[in-house]
Amino acid sequence: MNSLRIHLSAALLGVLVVALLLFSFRTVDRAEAVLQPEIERKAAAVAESSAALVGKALALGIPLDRLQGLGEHLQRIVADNPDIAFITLRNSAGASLYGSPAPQAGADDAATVEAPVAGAPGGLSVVVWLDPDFAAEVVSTLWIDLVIVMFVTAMVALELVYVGFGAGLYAAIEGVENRLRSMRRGDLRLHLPIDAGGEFGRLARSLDGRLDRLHAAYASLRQRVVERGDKAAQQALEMLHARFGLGERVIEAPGRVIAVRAPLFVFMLAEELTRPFLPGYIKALAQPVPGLSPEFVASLPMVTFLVVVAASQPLLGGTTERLGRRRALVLGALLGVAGYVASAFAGGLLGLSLARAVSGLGFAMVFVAAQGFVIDSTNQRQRSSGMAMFISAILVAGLCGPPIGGILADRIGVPGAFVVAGGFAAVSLVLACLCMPAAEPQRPRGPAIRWSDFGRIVASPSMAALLFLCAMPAKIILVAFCFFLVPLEMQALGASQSTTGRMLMIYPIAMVLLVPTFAALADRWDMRASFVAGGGVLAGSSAFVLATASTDIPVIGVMLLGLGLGQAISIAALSGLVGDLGRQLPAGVSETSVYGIFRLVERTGNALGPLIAGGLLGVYGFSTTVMLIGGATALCALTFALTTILARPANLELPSAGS
Amino acid sequence: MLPRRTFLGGAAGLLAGAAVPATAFAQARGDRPFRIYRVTYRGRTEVEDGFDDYLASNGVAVEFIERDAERSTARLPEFVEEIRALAPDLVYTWGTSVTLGVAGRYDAADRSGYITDTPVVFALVASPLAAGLVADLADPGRNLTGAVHVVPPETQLRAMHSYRPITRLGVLYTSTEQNSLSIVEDLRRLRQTMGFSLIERQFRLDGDGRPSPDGIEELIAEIGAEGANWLYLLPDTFLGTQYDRVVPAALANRLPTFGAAELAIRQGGALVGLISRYYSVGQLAASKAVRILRDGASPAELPIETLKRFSLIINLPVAKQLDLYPPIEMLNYAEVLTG
Repeated sequence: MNSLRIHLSAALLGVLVVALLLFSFRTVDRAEAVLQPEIERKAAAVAESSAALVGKALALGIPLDRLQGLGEHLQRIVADNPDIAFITLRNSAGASLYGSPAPQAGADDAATVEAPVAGAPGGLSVVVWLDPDFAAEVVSTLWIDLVIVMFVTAMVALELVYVGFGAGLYAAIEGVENRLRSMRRGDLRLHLPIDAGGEFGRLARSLDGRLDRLHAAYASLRQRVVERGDKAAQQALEMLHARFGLGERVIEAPGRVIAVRAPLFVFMLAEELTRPFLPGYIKALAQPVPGLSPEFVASLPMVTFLVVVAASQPLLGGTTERLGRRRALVLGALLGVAGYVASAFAGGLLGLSLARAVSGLGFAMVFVAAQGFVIDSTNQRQRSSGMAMFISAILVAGLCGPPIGGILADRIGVPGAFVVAGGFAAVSLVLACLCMPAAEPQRPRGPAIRWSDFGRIVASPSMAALLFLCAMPAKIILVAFCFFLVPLEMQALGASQSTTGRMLMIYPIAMVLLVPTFAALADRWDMRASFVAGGGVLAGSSAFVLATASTDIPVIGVMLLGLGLGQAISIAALSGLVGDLGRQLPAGVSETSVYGIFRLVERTGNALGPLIAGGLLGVYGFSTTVMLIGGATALCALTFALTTILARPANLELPSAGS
Repeated sequence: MLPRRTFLGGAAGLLAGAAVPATAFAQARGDRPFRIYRVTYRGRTEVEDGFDDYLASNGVAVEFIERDAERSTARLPEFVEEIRALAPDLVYTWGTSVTLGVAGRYDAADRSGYITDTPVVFALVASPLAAGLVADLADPGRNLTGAVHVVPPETQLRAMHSYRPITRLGVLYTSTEQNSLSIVEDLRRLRQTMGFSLIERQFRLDGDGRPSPDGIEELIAEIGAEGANWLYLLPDTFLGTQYDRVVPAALANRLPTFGAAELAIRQGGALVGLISRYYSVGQLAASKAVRILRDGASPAELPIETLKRFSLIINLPVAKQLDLYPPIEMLNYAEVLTG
């Protein structure tokens, strides 16, 4: 591996994390120092205001035992102020007259604030007990936020390292490393030139110069030998050629793929920011539509986005090719900026739906352009590592975006968070201009999706079963749970946007950590179909934890973990199985077509997700809706298992994994 | 030669015009203040204080011709004659009967006995629609506009409910008063949404069909016996003259009373009331007068309005007598009478 690059990145991250940890400790320290006095000041203000009210009532001549509604007034104060544990009106003997009775003697260590009732006989006072857990809770929430910020900062720093060094220093270092490594192996082939300055660039060029001279000497020698017709010498030269690769070029990635990572990551981050707060925001904007439940109406702008994404992606492949990938990505990012900023200021559901449609078009454009760029910049052999880079950028964005979006929405409000998302899209635009090469390599490309293939692909029962019983339900349940039902239910449970954002990290964390393992296992054990079915059943049954316990936040977390685990098991196997089954189709159906239709089916699932969830939610409520969708997903996976695994022995010869 | 004083006056007017248009207008009229012919019903009240203060703080100089009807409509025709003779800029009227006597019903067959051209601004008319002063509050369509002082019944009941939840609401009203009938109609509607039951009693009528105070005590006792936990004193004109019998009778039955008119609580002795402050009603009426005098607006186009904020008044001695004290949080916003 590229040791120096990894070492550099690790060192950089190490320094960054240490610095962030120091800052975090300082921040928490300051917060703790400021927090306690502030809580006490507030409690004193509350106690004084209640004491003043009691004083006023007594001064008017209302008897002490006729202070109507004082108990309720004090109860409301406790309910409205999480930092207050008890509040009571107490006489000089310490007996509680109104409000919660004084806590047991053991609670002496809890801080109290007392305000005397002015002008009242008998030493009346209002006493407030502070909740000792409150400050601890504020600090622990602060820590969670800080750790998330740290994590995301590290991720973004890594991305910036790629941006700063990707094409320049890192490429040069890697180039030198590659050259030395191949020479050590006795491989003297020529390398693609490196256009980087600095020491490493010069070193690489001087190595190339030596190799060039060696190859030139070899070529002229060979020329002379051929002219002389010396068979033995010719054979000896041939051996040299075979041994050292003289007269050949190394085919290697030009290091270009990395150029798209930063703009792609930042743009995806913009969209992921909206996950925790979007459903609640839509619901708040929604006007009732006669005949439709509010939940169904709330799903419409999300459906608009996903329909635009699903419908435009197959069409945009050609468009981005004609425009040039960089220009297409810039245009997509521009649409994103417009869409997010418009979402911030949308006055109603229709405006928001339009804004989301624009964002969706931008999203699809960026996605397709980035994917196209990876395909253009890699050959068949490098394709899977290029795609891995592409997918990891999206997954990391999915991991970082929701918690940040949640924190932003809590601190600056949803419109502000949308404006920040627009800002991210704008940064992505700038990064695309900075990082991506303007010139496009021209590559001959086969036809993308041929619509006539659709019928032939779907006509295969096993393929149809895979697409419609596994691929589509997998996306429906993902979008319905993670992007729609859970954010709405978390809001209904009174959770903050930050908590919702953290909750939405569970799925991508499970994916990032487990997908490589399960992909390898499925290949090694030759059990792709079983993994697909098993993962689907597990993902679907995760919904039924709601049947066993009441709906609260930890239970939803367990459900999302089950969903993530199930899909981590199935997702790579599913993609591989599509390829396997595709190869069994009648000749003439290209792999591109098969995968194109597979992705289209998945995106249709994406678009159906909120629609189905919204429709059911309005009728059945959260728990039943989740269990209906989960049950249907599990049932589909079981049906797939019965039709595929039992009907046909799983004796497919499987090539290496990957999508 | 231009007289020096006039010149200075004009300059002052221009200067003031930049800052306070109101003064400019008064000055431009050659320093002559507007003349308002004011007819009150029972002498000067806080309504007139609010009216005068509003004009003064807006820099509108006025001169009043004050007349009082002395709780009778007898002299009103005479005032109408005088208004015609003096030709003031605006006429101000207090209460329904004065306003009707001066401006007449909008659909009166013979309007020769009323003021039909000079702008009339009224204060303290409970229901201009029921009185027939206009056909539409938002668009009076005649030389008349003004300020209504009645708080909407639903708002009243909400306040009553937060003092003490209403279970059975008693009302005593005059069956010949259109305004009272329409309020009782509102109460019947609210009874479903707010979940209380209604106990209705009407004042007895004498031989001429006029309401009579006979048997007030029995009627209240009946209401009490049917389990009422509130007696609502709605803005009924006859009821307004009988507070000194109705309220003690209610107290005797341990019935808390809720007043819709300021008088019911300040002089009538009701326990609690939600009212438009007279002073504020005067200010609202004056804002209409300013629009007419200074801006030249037509009263026909100025909507008749009610206040948006009301005042809760609690009669603490009555609360003490009934041993029914207000929820303590009400003390944060209510005016409490202690004497």
